[in-house]
Amino acid sequence: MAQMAAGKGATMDGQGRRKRRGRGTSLAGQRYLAAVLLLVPAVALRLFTAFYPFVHTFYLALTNYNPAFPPAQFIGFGNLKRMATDAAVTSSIAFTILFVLISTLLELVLGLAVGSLLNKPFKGRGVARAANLIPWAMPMVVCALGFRWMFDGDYGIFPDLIWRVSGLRFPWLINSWGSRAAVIITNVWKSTPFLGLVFLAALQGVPAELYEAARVDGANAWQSFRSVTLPLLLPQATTMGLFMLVWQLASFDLIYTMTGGGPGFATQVLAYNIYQAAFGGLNFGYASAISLALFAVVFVMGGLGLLLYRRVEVMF
Amino acid sequence: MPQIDVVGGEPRRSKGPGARVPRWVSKAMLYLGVLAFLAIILLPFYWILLSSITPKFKMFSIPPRYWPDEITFENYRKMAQTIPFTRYLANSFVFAFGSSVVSVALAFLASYALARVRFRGSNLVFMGFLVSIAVPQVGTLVPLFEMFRIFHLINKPIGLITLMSSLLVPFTVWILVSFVQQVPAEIEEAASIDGARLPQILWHVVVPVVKPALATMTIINFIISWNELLYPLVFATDRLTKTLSVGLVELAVDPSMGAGRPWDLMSALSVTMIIPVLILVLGFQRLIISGLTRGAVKG
Amino acid sequence: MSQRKLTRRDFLKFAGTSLAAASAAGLLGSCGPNATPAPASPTQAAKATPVASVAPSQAAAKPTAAPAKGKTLVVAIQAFAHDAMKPVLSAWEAKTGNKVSLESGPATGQEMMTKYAPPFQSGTSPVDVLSVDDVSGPAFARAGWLMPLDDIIPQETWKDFPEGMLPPVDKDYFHSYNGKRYRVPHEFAVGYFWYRRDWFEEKKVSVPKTWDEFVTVGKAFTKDGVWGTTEGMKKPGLTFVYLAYLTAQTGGDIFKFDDATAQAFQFAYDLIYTHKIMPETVLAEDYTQQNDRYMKDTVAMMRQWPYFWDVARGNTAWYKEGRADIALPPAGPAGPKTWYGGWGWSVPKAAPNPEEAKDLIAWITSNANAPTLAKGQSWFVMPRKSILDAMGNTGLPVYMNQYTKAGCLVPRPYHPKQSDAETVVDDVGQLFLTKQMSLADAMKAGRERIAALG
Repeated sequence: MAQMAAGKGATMDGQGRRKRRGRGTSLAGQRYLAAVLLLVPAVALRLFTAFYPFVHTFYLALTNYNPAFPPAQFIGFGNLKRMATDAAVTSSIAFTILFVLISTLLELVLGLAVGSLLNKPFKGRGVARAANLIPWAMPMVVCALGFRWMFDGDYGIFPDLIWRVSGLRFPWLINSWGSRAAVIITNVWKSTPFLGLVFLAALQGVPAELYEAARVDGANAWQSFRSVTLPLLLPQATTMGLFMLVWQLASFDLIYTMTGGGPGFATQVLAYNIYQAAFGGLNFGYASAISLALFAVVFVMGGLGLLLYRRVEVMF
Repeated sequence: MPQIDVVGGEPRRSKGPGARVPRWVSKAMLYLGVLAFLAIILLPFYWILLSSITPKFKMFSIPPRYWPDEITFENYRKMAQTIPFTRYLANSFVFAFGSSVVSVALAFLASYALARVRFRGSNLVFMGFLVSIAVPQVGTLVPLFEMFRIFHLINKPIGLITLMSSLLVPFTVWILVSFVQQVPAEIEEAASIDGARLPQILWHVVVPVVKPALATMTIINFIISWNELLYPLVFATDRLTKTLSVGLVELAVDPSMGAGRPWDLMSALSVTMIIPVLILVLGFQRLIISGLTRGAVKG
Repeated sequence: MSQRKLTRRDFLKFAGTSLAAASAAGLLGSCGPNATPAPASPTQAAKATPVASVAPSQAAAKPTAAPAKGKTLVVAIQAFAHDAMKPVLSAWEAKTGNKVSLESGPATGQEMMTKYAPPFQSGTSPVDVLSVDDVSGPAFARAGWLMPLDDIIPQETWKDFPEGMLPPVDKDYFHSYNGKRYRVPHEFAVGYFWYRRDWFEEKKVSVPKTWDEFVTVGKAFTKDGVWGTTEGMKKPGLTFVYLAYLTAQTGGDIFKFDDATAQAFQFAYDLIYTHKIMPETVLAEDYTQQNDRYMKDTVAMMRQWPYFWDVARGNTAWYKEGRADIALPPAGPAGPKTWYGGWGWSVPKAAPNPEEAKDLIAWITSNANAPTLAKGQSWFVMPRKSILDAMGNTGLPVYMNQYTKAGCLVPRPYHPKQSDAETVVDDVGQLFLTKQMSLADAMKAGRERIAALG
């Protein structure tokens, strides 16, 4: 009777606890069915809106498809060859990786600093925490445009402030490294708050007893940070870092609005190359090939990141 | 035993061997840090706000100005006239709300399955979700448009919501999985012994426990959808569906060959767009943080 | 450690307050001397325009719910042109019993492609009549996504255009393809030479006629934060505009990166670094910044599109007679030249209401309506006979005539892969002008990249 009434949860007690780790009986089979049903909506959604376009992209990448220049022909690795000799793409791969790595690193470090700051007790903390999210809550187009004005040699508040403080004038947006720095700064300004929030939440989850224990052992602020905070946060930092890394690899509206990839190719990123190829000249075949290149970059970086995550996980 | 403040976070050090720096110094440094932080975070926003209330031809100056000479709301007025503002606002609302709710719902179901059920291939599915975020949005436009056309989803809110929810699902799943894992299995088992079937277990047992995380992710996804530009730009073709972010790039009062975005109007619109978000964030700020805090989930 | 339980009330509270707050902000913005009285229904507020010719119900009703008689067509053009379009459109509505819904169109060719390539590619079109630019128009025509207009537009309209603006079909790359016309121009964008006549008269300097004079005059003006000239050269697209302008004056074929092109590039470089009469920050600036510099009295001469006429005069706090005049451009080795281009009307092949769309486009571009549009928005001013007859002696048309008579106008440089080719010029030009590459390398790189386009 208990069996019938309990339905899926039949005969638990001792067996129930084992079930979570082990494989199973028909009970697990039922749960398997349940799992599939629960997953179907989300998985189907992703299959249709990400996987299908990916397959389509893969196919197109092997052609020179351009609706304005029919017919489409199968050219195998022709696009790959073209990408290898296209300075716009090769320098873009380098900067995309640089952009994402430096941004993510800065975001993690600054995010942790922000999270720690917002975790401390002070008046107006709620307002500060809300204000923290403002950069993240603004549309990217506005940030990019705003920062372009703010970095402008004559109109911008940043060069002006720097000049007022130090007397130096630095040409941000017309210098290749200056514009790269400007783009990264804008990106970091916009994305750090979110990481700050995540770290703040993570810090709140650290049991106070651990800090107390460290304090009793005679640790000062820095030491307790190193021995208590850091180890507990590192796994989460790594996963968030991984996520941000992969997610930012596809960013393009920042570059489009702020520098257009300029000066020259200095701030070109792969997603922008894709955009230009597809919606500048309708070169869907070539754009697809660049998409695959981006995907490859993601794979490699994501893979490396995952390895890092595994090692960090093992350590703690 | 010295006082310890146990409300999440670091304990206040009132006395004891750890305090080497005089309290007033560390407090001063703290407030200095807070000020510096606020300055960095808010300075660009302040400049944008300033631009929105400065008359158009006084906005830019060499060298830049930090304080308004003249204040005007003309930019807001013009902005609201150049695009169908209230319509776009309503559309943005529907789009953001729909996308956040749908994405969190679907992600919750998926996270439960991934967190609770050890089945072959669960890791693969999880990895699949993560890898799928690597597909750049720009590259998906053409095939997706074709597919959506066939399903008559172009220029329909439900079509846009589908796209946006899909974009949000992987990250939401990632976050929710770890929260679902924290729900003690005992209470689920207890419920199923009492005769609850899976849907009831989910709704009555699991959801209440992870509610903060669900709420937080809904808010976060709302904000992300609120600012989304590319999908509404391509998949919303008339004012019945377009969102405010599309309005941002449609503001054009001069035929400047597209090479002179009207900063006066854009700053006004962006300040307007951030108001609902600010309200959300200010009002629910504690909830948002608690929703992301691990170890806050107690049985 | 009490957890805040999220109640339905909280949710509704946030939804309500944020919607209210944002609407308040928007309505606050809508309030002003020109606002419609008491914006009761949200859709009314959204359409707070002085000319209420397009039926207000249009904004809320789905197209199929329009009054049973007559179809609803969609016309897309940039937002600033809407006010001028409305009288012409409502006259058509009255004539045919159909309705027209005006949508905002994208402002650049690339955005045009992003927005319309996906639907056109899949055989649908969200618009019936579309304003397209020089980059997207030919591309769409090539892809077979536009309707040929030769038989739809009456001969008298075609003949209304001077040959300088609309060459014969076989020689016209921007409006025709394969012997058929696909676009009717509605804009005549010329890179005019603007200058501060008041300053020139005050200093008793005459308008420069050659490049050398331009440099001399520029140097005379450049001091204390004032520049001889300025420009906007941000990517994408603007670098090409300026370099093509200079190359027109040297007689080069920019997409061939020949010696005359190199000369033009070098001149631009010299203006910034050798003669120092143009600020180097312009390489990252757009037209808003360029115009702003001019209107802050820090620039003596510049190249700019015709819309600056309205911008300058619209800045009533600043504008006075003589502050924004037009003269012939300084002559390079090949003479005083400047290139022109412009937006035009097309009908997508997949237009939802093709027959009505054909009638509508013929109406909008007719000789009777062209002057109406031109008077409503100076962007529509073109050297069409009908417009010149109606407006000929004042304002921009005077200069249009002047430039035409002096033989200054050359067509936009053309390449079958227009967008890609212009991007090459952008890239290579910027690499050279930001000193990342030498001139010789830049020319070589340009040639190679153009060749790689196939």
